[in-house]
Amino acid sequence: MTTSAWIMMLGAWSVIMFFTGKFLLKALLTKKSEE
Amino acid sequence: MTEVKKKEEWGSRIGLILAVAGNAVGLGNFLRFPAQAVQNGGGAFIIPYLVSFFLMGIPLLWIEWAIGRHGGKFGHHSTPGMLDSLGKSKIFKYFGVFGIFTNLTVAAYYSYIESWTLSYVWHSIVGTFSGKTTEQISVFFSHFLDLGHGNLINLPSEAVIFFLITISINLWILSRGISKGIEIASKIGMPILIVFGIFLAIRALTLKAGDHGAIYDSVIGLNFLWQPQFDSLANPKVWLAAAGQIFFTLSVGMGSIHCYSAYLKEKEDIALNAATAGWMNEFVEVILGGSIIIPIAVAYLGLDWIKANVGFEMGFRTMPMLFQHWGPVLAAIAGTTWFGLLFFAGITSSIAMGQPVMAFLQDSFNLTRKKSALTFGLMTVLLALPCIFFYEAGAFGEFDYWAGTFSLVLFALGEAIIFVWVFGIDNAWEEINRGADIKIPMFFKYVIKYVTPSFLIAVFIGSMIKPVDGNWAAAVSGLFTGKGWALASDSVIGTIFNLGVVDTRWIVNGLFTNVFVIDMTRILLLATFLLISLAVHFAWRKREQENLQNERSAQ
Repeated sequence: MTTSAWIMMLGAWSVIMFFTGKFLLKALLTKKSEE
Repeated sequence: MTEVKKKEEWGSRIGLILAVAGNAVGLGNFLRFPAQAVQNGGGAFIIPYLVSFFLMGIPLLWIEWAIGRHGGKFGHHSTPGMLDSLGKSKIFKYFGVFGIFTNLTVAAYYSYIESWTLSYVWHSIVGTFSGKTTEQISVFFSHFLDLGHGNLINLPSEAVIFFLITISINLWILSRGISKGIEIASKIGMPILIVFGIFLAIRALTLKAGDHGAIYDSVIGLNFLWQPQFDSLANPKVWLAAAGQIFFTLSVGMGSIHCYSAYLKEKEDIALNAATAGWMNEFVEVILGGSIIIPIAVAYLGLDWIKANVGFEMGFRTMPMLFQHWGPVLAAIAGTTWFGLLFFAGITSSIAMGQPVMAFLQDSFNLTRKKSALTFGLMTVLLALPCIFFYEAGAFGEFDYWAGTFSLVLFALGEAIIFVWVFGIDNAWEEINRGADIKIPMFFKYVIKYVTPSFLIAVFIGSMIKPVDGNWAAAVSGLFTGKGWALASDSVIGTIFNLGVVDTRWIVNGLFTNVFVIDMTRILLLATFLLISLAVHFAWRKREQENLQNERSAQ
């Protein structure tokens, strides 16, 4: 793979994994708002 | 408008998130996204794709979740009532018909594709594809759908049996209700789907030339997918394709997200739930969806073949053959996981299409859950008949175009305008943020008010007047040089007027033509929309009479 392809792929994957993980963890660790 | 007690609600937060993510994660994540990326600039496609996700996708998710929870407060679990509760105009509820029409008509043809995946799971397990060549497996697919014989009618007996099985499974889940049916199905289906996806992605990315008959390293496929072509960023066609992909992958503009959200309590979070489900869909689409079909196909068939053949049917016509290189046991496992993954992606989406239709029947005509499930099933089967028996003549394509593409954009544009400009941006912002477990940055208020509707208007106009080959520069210059606008045959206007169709006769030599089938399908879709509008009209009249009776008895 070329360097630019690696950068694009890993860059996109990092952004997506960061936000997916961040929000999923917060959702799992936060109690329901009304509870 | 009186507040009523909700009958059903979600059992757990993770169940709700998985259900909404499951609704979004569908066949398109694995079959449509890689094709779109390849055809629109490879790695550079991800830039407009993520920008569209930030500025249109996420805001639309918040809008739909907010409309749903707001409508649920007044006892509405489908979009006619939800939009009616946002303003005083009597028209809004009829615009909300789209949220029932789209789910019903898309469920009809989508369940059919879903049934193919179930059938292919079975054939992978019993070894039907074992020892078959590429051509034989492609022919199997044609026989399975009874294609390629030149007759107007397709009679695919096995596909019909699997379709009925698939519909029965869907109805069984739906008849069990929100927490015991949809939520449990999503809690089972989504983790299995992700595990299957990770297994196939690892297998795909570790495939090297010479390994199990592979001719090329699979990373060549990845390179092809991710190599950025930055000149494509200046092309409106690429931006429209990226915005379109975000639209379809998130299942916005359908009415199913609204319905799921309507079962939330008034002060339960929607901001974090929507963001989590949306990003989870991106994980499945970009990371898993982008790492399976293209790398595996490139490893065995090469780049040139992919460029010529990439598309929806590749998953069925090609993948089973490629798995055969891995030996009988691994081929059976890979086939089962691939089509199992597609099946779970499909079923978590199709049950989300059933619930809004059922909710409308329950709310408006007091049908029980089981009776509404059966009614939905019956309507789905009836609407699926033209898609199955006139698949090749174009009925399936018409359903996909008008219900699964055009209606989504139109409805999303309308609901965004009603929510932001009629209900009011301040009310909308307050609604989105009530009970929120995350603080949404203030600039999203302006994005929701100006940028998201502008994006939607651009996508809508873009689909209406799409030029030939997506060449906007040539089309605009054509206007100034007196050549006129070169309208593409697959633009909305071009499609309505059968642009590019030389012979538009319904009957030739005493036989009905494909044009006849296509026009009849359009009439059927229009009639379905009008019938649902009529049902909404009667439901509201019934509700008004009941309110009047209650007032009289109270006096």
